[in-house]
Amino acid sequence: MTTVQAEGLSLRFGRTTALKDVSFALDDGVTGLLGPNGAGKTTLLRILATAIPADAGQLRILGADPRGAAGRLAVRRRLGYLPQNPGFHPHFTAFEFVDYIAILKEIVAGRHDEVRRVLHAVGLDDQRGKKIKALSGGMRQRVGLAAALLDDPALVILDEPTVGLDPEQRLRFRELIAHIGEGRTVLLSTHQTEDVATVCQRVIVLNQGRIPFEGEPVALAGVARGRVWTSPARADGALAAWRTGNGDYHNIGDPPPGARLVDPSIEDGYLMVIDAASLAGRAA
Amino acid sequence: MTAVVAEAPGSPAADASAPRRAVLALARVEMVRMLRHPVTVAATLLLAGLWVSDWFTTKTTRYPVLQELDHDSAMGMMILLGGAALIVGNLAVLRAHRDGTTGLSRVLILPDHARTLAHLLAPLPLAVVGAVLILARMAVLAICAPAAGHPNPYELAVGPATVLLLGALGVLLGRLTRSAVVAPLALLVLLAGLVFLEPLTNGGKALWLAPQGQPTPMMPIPVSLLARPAAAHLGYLLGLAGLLATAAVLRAGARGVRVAGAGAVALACTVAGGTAQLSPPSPAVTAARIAVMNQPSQHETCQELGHVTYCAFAEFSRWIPAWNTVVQAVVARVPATARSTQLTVRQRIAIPAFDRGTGPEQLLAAWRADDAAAGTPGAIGIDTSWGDSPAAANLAGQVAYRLVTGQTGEAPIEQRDGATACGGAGVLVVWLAGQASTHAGTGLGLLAEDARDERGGVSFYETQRFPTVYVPTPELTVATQALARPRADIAARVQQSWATLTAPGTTAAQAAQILGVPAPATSTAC
Amino acid sequence: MNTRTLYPLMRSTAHAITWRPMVLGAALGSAVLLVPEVLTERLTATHLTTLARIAAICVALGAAFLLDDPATRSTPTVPTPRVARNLVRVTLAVPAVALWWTLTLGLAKTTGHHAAAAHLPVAALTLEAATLLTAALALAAIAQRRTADGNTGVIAAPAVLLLAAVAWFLPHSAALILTPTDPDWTASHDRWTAVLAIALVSFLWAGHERERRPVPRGWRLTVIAVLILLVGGGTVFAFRSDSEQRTAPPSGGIDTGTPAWRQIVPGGACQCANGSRFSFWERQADPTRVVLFLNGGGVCWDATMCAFTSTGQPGENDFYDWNDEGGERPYDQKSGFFDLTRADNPFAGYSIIYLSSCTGDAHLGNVAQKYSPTLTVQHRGYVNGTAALDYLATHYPNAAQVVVIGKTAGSIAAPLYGGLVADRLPHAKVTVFGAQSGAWPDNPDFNAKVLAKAWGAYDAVPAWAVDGLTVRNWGIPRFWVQAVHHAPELVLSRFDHAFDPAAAVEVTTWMPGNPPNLLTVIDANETAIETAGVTLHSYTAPGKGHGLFEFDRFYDLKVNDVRLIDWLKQLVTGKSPSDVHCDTCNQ
Repeated sequence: MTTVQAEGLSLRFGRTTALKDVSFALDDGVTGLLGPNGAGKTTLLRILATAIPADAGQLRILGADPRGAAGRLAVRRRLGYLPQNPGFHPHFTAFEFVDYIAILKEIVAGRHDEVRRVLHAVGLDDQRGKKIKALSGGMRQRVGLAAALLDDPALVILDEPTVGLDPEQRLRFRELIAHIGEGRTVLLSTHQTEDVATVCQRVIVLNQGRIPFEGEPVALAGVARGRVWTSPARADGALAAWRTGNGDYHNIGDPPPGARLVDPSIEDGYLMVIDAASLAGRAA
Repeated sequence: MTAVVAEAPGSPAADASAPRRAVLALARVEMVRMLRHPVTVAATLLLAGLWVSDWFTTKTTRYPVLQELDHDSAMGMMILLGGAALIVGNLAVLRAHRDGTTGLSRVLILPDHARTLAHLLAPLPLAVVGAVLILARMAVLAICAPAAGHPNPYELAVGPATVLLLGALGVLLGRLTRSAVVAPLALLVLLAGLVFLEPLTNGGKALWLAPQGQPTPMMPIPVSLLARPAAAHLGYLLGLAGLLATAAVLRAGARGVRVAGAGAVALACTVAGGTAQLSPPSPAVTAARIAVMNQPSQHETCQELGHVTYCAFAEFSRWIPAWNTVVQAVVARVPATARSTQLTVRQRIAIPAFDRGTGPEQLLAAWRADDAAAGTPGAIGIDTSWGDSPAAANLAGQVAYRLVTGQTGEAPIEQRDGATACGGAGVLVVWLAGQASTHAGTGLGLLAEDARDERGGVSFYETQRFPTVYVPTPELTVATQALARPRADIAARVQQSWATLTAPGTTAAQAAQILGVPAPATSTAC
Repeated sequence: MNTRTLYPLMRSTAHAITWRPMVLGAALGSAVLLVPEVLTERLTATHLTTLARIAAICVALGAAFLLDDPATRSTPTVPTPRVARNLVRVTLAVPAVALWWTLTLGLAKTTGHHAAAAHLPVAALTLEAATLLTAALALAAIAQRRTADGNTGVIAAPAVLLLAAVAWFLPHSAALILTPTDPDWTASHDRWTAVLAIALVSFLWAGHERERRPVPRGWRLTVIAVLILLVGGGTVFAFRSDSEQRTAPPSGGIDTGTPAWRQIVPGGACQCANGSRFSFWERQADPTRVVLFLNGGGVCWDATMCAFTSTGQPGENDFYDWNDEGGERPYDQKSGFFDLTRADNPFAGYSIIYLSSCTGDAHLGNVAQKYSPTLTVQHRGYVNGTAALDYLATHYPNAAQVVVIGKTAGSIAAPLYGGLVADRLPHAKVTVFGAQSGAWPDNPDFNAKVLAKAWGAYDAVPAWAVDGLTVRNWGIPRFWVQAVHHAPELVLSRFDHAFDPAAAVEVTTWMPGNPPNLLTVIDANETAIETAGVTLHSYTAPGKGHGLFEFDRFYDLKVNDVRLIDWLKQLVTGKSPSDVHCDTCNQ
């Protein structure tokens, strides 16, 4: 069944419109939420996590309407949330912290077992008894993820979970997320296109409060099909160009005739989707 | 990985006891954290250390009056353990803001007011620790020292009650403001209240509205006269704690019948306890106070030890051997032939607030009448505190005066300083008093120091209030010199020359010669 | 850090500091000290000192949050060292705190009706406040080393309170928290200075960044164990020596040094109204400057006023003191003129001879008066006074300055005693200050009935005192004139409250006017005296107050911008202050 069904969600903060008429649906599997900073990703995730209500629009999460208190509570019982810049109590050990969250989730029977299970699932068995202030950044993120996995939630919302992680840590994280996504709905916000490429079955692009693209990652890449080419030097008429590792320039835009077209990546498609208007403007 | 079970919307939540059990689990976590917190540990150690050091520094702790110490101990607990509960409880509530976890905790299931309830329960073990400590203190004092009276269990319970009260205040403050400075400042307001509320209310009944209540009377009194509304005050404090807790939980978003009910119960407790504690003592107690103050002999039991009669209120009778030690030390130095005077030591209380119509002279007259009626004329008055050096000196001095002069030291009422002991008699009185014990010697020095701001010499007081015997400066100087000499030598000379020394015409200079010490610089015209 | 960055740094830092805790602390601190003062008059110096200390802790708690820096993770590698950044914060806060302290203490000393507030030991309390503030900053700096998130206040604030609790419970030999009257007060402030120095050094040391050389676990535990042993040993030792001090045998430990006051019993013909022993009091200080203090003691001239009470019934006769025990002793009160430790007491260093009247005759009589078959009163005030004067002349022959002060009934005879002192000590400069009898009238009936007949004063005093005057003419205001005619070098002065009902209550029937206007009588008396060619310096204060010497009113009294004690100082040092007279005398 559809885990999340959103129709026409809108939200304003003062004079800024954070979300304008956003509609989408989420199913099992990992969905990536791509977008530049200030696009409204965190706002959307907080609405889905029932932290804040939308101004307008319809929303059903796990069959419940989060507008009412009972609906919110029903959602929260089956929700796991890892916020952006999660806070920790530095003097708590990893176990104590996750245990604390477990209590707040009203897990009573077999609580300690559940805590051990989630810590094992994120690979922190050995660090259970260490104080959080003594853990590295990557391990702390995993503590946060473990807390989000408590009580086997049906919907897991992760807000930029790989920010600040080194490549190896990011790899492991993606492994975890892919694992979690089997049989659950995971919504993962990021502005790293590699995350989307490797882990997500679907991707939603959010820009300036709207959704310009929703679909499979290959479809996103396909948006730039025929618009990406390489050249030895910077091409005129390219909307964006940069030097690649082997000395050639990677260009996006309207290719001149005879240009060496390459297969577009998700990043190319993403850039086209995000900045289509301004790219067009610059070219003109 | 477990398979996801797709639940239909609106399914019943996990069992209804989950919130309650979650609150208890959270409370347990918070309790442990509060007990382990360095501030709590330090405060507990400080309190225990304070009570231990009291034994060594405050001499009257060796002769404890338990119906006063119960209140004192509760107040110490309020400041230290209550202060710890206030600050640590407040920090616990603010922890989420400080560490930035509100983003997550806001979307968790246990509602805010339930979390607040868990914080409110956190000081309970600390209150239990306090109760254990205060009971231990009472027990140790009752066993290891000749304790007088007995503590009031409600007064003892006030200590842990203030820990709960201040813990609730800390949680409430944490819900009202995020600033971490407010809780310590609140503790300082409490301390300031301890300082200025008493002068403000002139020690009146209104003080019971503050946690510290009315102070105990200026000298210890028998339990039956105390009439402190401790039970009402306990109910008042617990009610207040309940009100603060209800306010905190309301602020956290709780609504409903149960909260209203709890608030109503707390309010009822507060009002009932609060008004009950303000009522004046019953007429029976007031009458008893006046009776015991003016005619103590009718409320005392007497005991004879070595030809000295000691009359004390029943609960203070464990001190009689200590009094006897001092008295016999004086008597021992007096030649057997001169020990003819019948000595009585009678315990008395003198509290002006009990009987505002009676002035000091009238009280003294009442005591003399009472002594005469009881067949113990000329009894030496002693009060209800013992252990510090001036008490020993005062007793020894008055005993010495009676033995040296054969008189009771009761001067006519116009003589505001009591009787003056001059010449050899004065020297003897001071020497006998100072040698009775090391305590008496130190006490003598303290009494002389007090007198130096005025007319010099030394005055010995009965019941620590009324000067009965005055010895002028020259005689004091001679006696001080004698006290610095080997005791056996002087004692021998005293025994030998007793008659000369006590003769009315002997001057201080002559006495100095007899005792083999330098003569005084000046002489008194007696 | 160079000076160019200093000013912008200070501006940014001022913006970055969380001022709220300090503002809250300062506001509460002021309230803690000032509100109780306004609400009650019964606060003593000890209460106020404690409240001032609590106020200082309030602001110290606020200062514990001064070093809070949420951006601490972003600034570990800037060129400006942390200790400099800390100092910038402190420099911004300290002037504000100093201003607050000055305002609060200043208000505390001046508002309210507190004698105790005026005596607040400002310098000592400022030292304590500075120490508390520095200790809070030092604790915050130490917390800075330990926290990664820049929240130093939550650690330092409770630590400040714990330290304050420890300081409170220190044993007496090491005590920091004492009352201003404690003999160890000054010594304890040496200890405060030491604590201030330690706190300052700790603050600077803790702010100093250095690489974290990992201290092996074993070392750390050893250091902690040694510290605990030292502290524990020190505490036990302090307690032991404290208790030993208390139980040590006197062995000459009783200091029988000079008492403050000596009682002199002249004997001979001296006696009080009931025939009992008369005594006066002496305080030995500067032998060249002496005060002869003639205390009041009431007056009487008939059987009712002069009755004694029988010994069986306690209670006194309200009209006068008739024996040695009834009067006040100079050490019975320790305030006002009798606070001889006060720096601004003009007579703090003077020797004092203090007489109370126990004869009901204003120190003037010499007669045994039978008022009824059962009542014979010995009015021997002049005899007693003469004995005191002889004592003064014998024991203070080198006195350069003698001030004869008369209080209420004692001031009636003050001018005459001034002349008598001048007779005995011709080389001394004699000043007379008579307080609170300026309204006693010059009424022939009074003069005859009381002064001459009842007391026998007309016959008792020396010839020069009554020279040229009949019994009916010899009135109290005339004493001033007679005195200065006999001893022209006398400096004469008078003090009165304009409408004090108690000052002359016994003699209102003899005053002019119905009812008599006291101020008019006072002014008329003075005019009469000055018309006879006498310079009588006078200080007339408004209102109905009775009592001048016993209270701190002695120091506070100010009329037309002239303080009484300044006026007195000028008088006794030979300057001639102008008369002070209230404008609106009715308040």
